[in-house]
Amino acid sequence: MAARPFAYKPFSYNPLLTAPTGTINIDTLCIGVSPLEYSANPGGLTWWMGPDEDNSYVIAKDVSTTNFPTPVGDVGNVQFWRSTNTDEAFRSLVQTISGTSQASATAASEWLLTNGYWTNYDAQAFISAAVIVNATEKTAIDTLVNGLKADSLWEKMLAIYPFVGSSGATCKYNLKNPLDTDAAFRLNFQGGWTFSANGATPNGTTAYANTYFIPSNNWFGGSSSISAYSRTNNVETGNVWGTRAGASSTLFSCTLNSTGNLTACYHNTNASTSLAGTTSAVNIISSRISTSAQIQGINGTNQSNASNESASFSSNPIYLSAINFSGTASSYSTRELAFAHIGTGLTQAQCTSLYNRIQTFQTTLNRQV
Amino acid sequence: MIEVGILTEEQKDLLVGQEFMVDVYFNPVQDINDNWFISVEEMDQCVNENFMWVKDLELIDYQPKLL
Repeated sequence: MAARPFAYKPFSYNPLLTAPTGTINIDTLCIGVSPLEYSANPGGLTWWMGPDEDNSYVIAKDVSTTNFPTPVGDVGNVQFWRSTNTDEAFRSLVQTISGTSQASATAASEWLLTNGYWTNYDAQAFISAAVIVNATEKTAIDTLVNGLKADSLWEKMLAIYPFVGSSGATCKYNLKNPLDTDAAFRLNFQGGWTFSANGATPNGTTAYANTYFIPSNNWFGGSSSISAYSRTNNVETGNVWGTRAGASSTLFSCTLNSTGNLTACYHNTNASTSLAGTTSAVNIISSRISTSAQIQGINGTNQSNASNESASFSSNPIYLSAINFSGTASSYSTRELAFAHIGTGLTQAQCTSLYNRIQTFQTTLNRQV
Repeated sequence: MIEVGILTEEQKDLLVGQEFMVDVYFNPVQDINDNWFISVEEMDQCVNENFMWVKDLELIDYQPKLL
């Protein structure tokens, strides 16, 4: 029988806010994401098993008065809802719960997160869109989404590329908005790519991925971030990500372990402080939370550098594995990608939290570096 | 040395924007001598019946265009 990695999850009301090992908190709602003996009340909490998540969208909310009706009396500390797994059914259910109109299923999910609810909608919507069938990949995606929400990183993300499913048809999807459209920042793979369970490998001569994410349309000054997880250790001048439109001050790019073992992220500027390192098999992140400084990090170790951001950003979409130089791809990379994100600005602590979630994701998939 | 498949101008025009496998598209590029080419990955992985002729392209050594 095929494994059912997250058909059910246990939940509890956790006013202490500290999540026991193997669980995560979204506000005061605690979610069991590891196989613990929940009947033994780990963390001193009383746990309730959630509804079957197979082919369903499930919503959960803690009940702080611990008197929700259950088959064993009015002692429940979590309330559950479930809809069929269609966007319309989910949106309609959230409208009923919230008493407000929801423009889309994605907007409904955002309302739930803002108001302390948990839902499996985001992970399930991605898994359905990308037709992910591998049980370990499903579990990894589910845990990643829950972890990002627990760390308040989910709302910072504008695009997340988990590179799972071992094909262009699966790796193209943006976990944050898994629609097959340019507007949803779905990747468009160009040239020679090789896909496997470890990610997507460009050939360094013709391959790049268009994110359709245009900095000048989607970012404001002093709040932007990007990261990529490279599984390849080599020395090369290819760009891990990049875009530029005309003036060099619009440069937004990353060269990783280039000549002299230097890593440089240009973040809407023509100046950069290089990071030293002797391997390119790393997670690299670049972030701005101000127009006068940039955070750069490798594997969760981050530093802030003085760096003035240009007033105008590139009007060309960001490419992965090359730079979009005024509309033409160049400086192709050979680094195998196993994760990438584009988002709003992250603090140093948030960059570290993101790295930790990414590394857990890669470890689950046995492809960590 | 990396090898690539050389294209005529007409062949390049036929391939631009076309899928060679699901959700992955040909990307003809020019080398240092302004020859159009595609990579061996695009040639080998092509399953689009309209473009199976790319598997028979002449191979040349890859010489990147200087920036």
